[in-house]
Amino acid sequence: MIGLPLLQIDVNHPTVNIAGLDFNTDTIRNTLIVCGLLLILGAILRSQLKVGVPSQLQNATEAIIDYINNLTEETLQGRNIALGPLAITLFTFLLIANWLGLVPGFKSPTNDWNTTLGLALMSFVLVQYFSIRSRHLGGYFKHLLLVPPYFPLTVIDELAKPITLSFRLYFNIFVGELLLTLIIVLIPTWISWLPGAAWTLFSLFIGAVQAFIFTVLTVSYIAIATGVEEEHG
Amino acid sequence: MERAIVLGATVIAFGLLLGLSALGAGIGDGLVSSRTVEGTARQPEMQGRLFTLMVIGIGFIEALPIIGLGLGLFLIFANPLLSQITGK
Repeated sequence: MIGLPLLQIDVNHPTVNIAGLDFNTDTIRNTLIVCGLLLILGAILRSQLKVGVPSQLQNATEAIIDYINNLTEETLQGRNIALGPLAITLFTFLLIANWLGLVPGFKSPTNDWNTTLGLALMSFVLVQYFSIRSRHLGGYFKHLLLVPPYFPLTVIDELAKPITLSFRLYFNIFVGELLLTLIIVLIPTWISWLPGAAWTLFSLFIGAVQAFIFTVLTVSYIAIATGVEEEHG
Repeated sequence: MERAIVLGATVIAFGLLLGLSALGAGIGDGLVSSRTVEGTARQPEMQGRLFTLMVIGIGFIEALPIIGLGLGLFLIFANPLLSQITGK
């Protein structure tokens, strides 16, 4: 890194080369940690499941699941697609992943563009799949060629969606963690806890909001792509 | 000398990038919140859905200055213009 020599902060991921492909080891490790946390949470919830008076954990989880499920069904009203499980999985994974970076010693898996781009590509493929399934292949191409001179713009519009979706999440988490490091490095130790705590609280909010936005956008892209012959204004 | 010019220009660019993006995002946040308050005052029973929409809108808006901040920090800490001069 070139620049101010006092402040060399390493933002590169340690990589390992397997069969000509670079793997970011810390991202893979942290993704597995998030998956493990979610599995353990699921196992604990499953063992404590009650019909009568639910425990606090069960209550909170049910509230989140109900909220996302209702939102998904409201967005997809009238379409025969069950996206609730996907939306809940995406939201809980991203929420834990975004918050993991705020625990000292850990980094978010979403701190890496590869993770967010992978998730965004998944949503892109899903959008195309549901679009073809609901309109059939002819209708799909008819939709792309609705106004023939605008065909390139329509394609760019479709391709820009996963890129903006991934960049929004990636930069929010990446800059959040970088700023936390910068606060520790740049500000004198006796006062650095104050902006550090403030920025951590803001990062909690940002992480939740960005996880929510990623989920809602994935669902609403699919809702737009499967719209029943809506008017193109 | 060239190095000093590039460093100064980079810092000015960082200031402009951060200041303008924060200015725009601040205006946008204000508009979103004020309209949400107006809507809630008109129809208090819509508060839940309006709040969700407001949070989504603010998330969209807040992403822009944060992306700007990321690009600005890249300019400062891994200056690509400076490496053109020093040739490293």
